[in-house]
Amino acid sequence: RAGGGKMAVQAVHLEADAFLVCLNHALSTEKEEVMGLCIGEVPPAEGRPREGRVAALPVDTNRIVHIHSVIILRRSDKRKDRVEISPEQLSAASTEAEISFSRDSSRLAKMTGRPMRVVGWYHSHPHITVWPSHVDVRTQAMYQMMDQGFVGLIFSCFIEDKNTKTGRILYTCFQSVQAQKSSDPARPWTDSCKVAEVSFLFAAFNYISHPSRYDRIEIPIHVVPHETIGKVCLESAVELPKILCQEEQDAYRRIHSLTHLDSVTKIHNGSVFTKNLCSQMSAISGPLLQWLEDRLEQNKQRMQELQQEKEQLLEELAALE
Amino acid sequence: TDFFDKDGVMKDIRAIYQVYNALQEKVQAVCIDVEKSERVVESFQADVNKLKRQIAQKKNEKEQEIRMQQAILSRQMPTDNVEPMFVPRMSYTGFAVEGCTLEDSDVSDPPPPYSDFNTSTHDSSGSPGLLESSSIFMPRPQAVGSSSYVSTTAGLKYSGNGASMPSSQRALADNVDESEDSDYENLLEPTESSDSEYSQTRESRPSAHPDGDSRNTQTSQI
Repeated sequence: RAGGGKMAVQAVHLEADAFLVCLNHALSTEKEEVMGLCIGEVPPAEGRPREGRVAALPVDTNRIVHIHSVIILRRSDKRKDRVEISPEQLSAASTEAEISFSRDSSRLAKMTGRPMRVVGWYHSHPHITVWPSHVDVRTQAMYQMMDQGFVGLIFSCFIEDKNTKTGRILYTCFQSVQAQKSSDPARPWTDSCKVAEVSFLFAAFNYISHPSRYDRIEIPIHVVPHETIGKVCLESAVELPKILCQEEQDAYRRIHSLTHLDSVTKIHNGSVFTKNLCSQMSAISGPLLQWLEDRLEQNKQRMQELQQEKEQLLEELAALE
Repeated sequence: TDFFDKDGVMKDIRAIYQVYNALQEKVQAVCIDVEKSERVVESFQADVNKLKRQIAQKKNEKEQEIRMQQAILSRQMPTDNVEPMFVPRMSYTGFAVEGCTLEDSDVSDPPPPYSDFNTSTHDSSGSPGLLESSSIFMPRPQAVGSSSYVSTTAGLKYSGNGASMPSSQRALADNVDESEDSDYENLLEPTESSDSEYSQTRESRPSAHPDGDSRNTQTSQI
């Protein structure tokens, strides 16, 4: 088993509404990877049983990460096999997230009474296996240098079962651990020069074959169901089309700023921009609006049901008194 | 002038912006309504849960009262086979019942307890376990760039400023196939970043147009 030692994080609890936003974001495009930040907390450790008492050891809550919401990040480079954000954007997003969540008077802050912070990151693997690549593992290891409890989530989507033609979505949570060194069998050598030469070649071969010095370690992740959707998650969900539009605008402005373009090329580029924006509205904004309207209708019905139930309970309570 | 306005911006782009902004405003407005309704549902649910707790507490108090009375009666008449009898209600403060009912919280039962173990790493070809990942079967979703759209061109690809950023900031996968066509064009020679859909030269247009026209490579610059 590679990467021995105690894990910094024992488990991750992902709120259902945050999970919804992550899925929505991951499914927004099958051509490029997307990325975002996870906002949450690591609750303080609870009391331990007294010395001498025979009792089951409680779960060390200090090692469970609770993710309450996510922030969708704007990409500086849209590719199908990579997702990048600038270090400045990452830092700014982290700072903004922590400030806004500490001021948030919604149920999130009221519920926990504790400030939220960036506790992890997520990205998508469209048409790619759910397991993190060696670069993902290195990126995660870099984040863990700043925060040992930082976790990484990956959503693998647009994977079809060839037989049933049904779509599959896989998700996983991982951290990085230092890879164990390969153990070389001890072999006696009479010629010291040959030993040095072979060791060097072996080390070089190892480096080429295994450029990463980190291994992934999977963290159990559980989605915590919720009956309602938090304000922060709703805002993140409707932020998605704006972010996608901004990315499109950035790309179009970069090309439009070129002065040597002829009119036909400009028309062509403008048409491509229009087409892409229409595609976003059709695939993202339109279904999002439909989902919101359906949700509003569902909530209205739920309010009526709860109101009736409340009246019945009041009658029952009055009868008991 | 048929395509551009006085500011040099394509008229189609202004039109699509108007449509997009209108749609986004509508989304924002409905989102605000949804958020308010979610809070109202939460409030109603909290009221219902509170009432259920109160009812459960009342019932418990009554049961405690009846049991106490029965215990008193049974002590007074220990040898007689006395059936439980109803006594006038006595003032009794009973026990305060706390805790939540099953329908109390809007959060379901907590996840199962964890054992203190280190999960082993898996090969990249290994199948995900129950604890490590989960799978959901659902119909193939329609997303930007899906093959079901009329346009057969590839999705946007941009050349990022990768050289100026530390490689540790990137999340990469092993698949590095980038042989897709680009939509946008430019007037310069194809560079490494010419896989972007945006065009900088007409001569670098991909030979495979949606309508199969093969004459594009021979068009001259205006």
